[in-house]
Amino acid sequence: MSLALRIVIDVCIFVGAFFALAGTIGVIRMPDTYCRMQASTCIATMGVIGVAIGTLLYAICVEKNAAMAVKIGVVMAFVLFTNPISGHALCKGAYRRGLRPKRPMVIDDFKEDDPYDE
Amino acid sequence: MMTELLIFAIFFVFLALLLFMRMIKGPNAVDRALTADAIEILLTTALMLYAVYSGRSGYLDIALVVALLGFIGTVLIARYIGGRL
Amino acid sequence: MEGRTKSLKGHRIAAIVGTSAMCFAAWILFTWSTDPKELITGAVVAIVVGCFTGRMLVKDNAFYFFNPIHFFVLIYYWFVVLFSEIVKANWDVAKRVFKRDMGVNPGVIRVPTKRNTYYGLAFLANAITLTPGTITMATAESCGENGEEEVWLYIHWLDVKTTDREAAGEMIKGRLEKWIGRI
Repeated sequence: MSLALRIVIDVCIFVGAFFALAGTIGVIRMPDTYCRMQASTCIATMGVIGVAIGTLLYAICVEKNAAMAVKIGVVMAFVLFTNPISGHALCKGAYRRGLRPKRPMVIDDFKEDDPYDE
Repeated sequence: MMTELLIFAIFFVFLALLLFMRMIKGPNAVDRALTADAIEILLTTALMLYAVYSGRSGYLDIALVVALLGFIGTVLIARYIGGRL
Repeated sequence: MEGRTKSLKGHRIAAIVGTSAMCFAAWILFTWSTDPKELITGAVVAIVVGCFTGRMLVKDNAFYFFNPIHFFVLIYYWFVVLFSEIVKANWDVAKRVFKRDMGVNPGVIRVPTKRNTYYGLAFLANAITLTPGTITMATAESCGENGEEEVWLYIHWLDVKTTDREAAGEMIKGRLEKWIGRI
């Protein structure tokens, strides 16, 4: 294995780890529930993309294992497709539950004309 | 062998442990569901790294199953919270 | 009436065939072997799954993405446009996390959009949710003053820069809507 390839793989995985760390700190520090939801999207997009690109390069160039590379691609695509759906569901469920942040929002259009208000 | 793959996998598991703090402290149920989703994604990533490190693609199947179950569980909890199940 | 039922039946068969082909491709990708036993099992499972779920999943033209031009535009959109947007938004959120006061002023804003097909709307909502900093909460349809249909997206925005709805839509959607319109 050449040194350049190793450095490239390390940089990809390091970028993923950095954004995952940022998302984790965001989830711990953010003031209310909706903002925490935004920070956890950070983990699910850039963390997964970075690590998947790094491991994909490793599986193709070092292990020379095509099945493993395809499986890594499938896992990445699955996480990226399903994360927004659970995001919508959680956000709408929280709002319908009547959860409001302590500090009032800057603008709240959903309150004045809630299309799902029975 | 690249040892840093293992080190990064341990780092991701450490991040998942950090998220448990928010899960215990979380003021309401939505926070806990959200944190569980994030933990599941972090564990998927750690499993991907470990599969590549050890050279066995069986761990990737486990990662896919973890991602699938986490997604179904999160959507189910969200619908329950929203009042339509 | 006759022609309509016939076209409906043809549409249904096309939906089943398209779904089965997708399932079979996924099976081949996931098992990654050319053993005939595996291929036959995969074909049977794909056809059964297609028969059961084809009607539910496909409502428009089933062979839309088998056209190479649409397919390459889709690939370009995923790997260049959406990826660059995700990287920019991630960097923004990561910078904000490490600040002391974080400078968040969250809000829910209503944004107009022009997409009217189901798939375009779902693509747009998913792309907006996938970029950190914005989450789509709901969609709503209403009749405008001139009688044309309007579609609104309710978006939770981490840092509300402007409360004007048109300008906010331009800032959030940006390039995404233009490229989704081209698919």
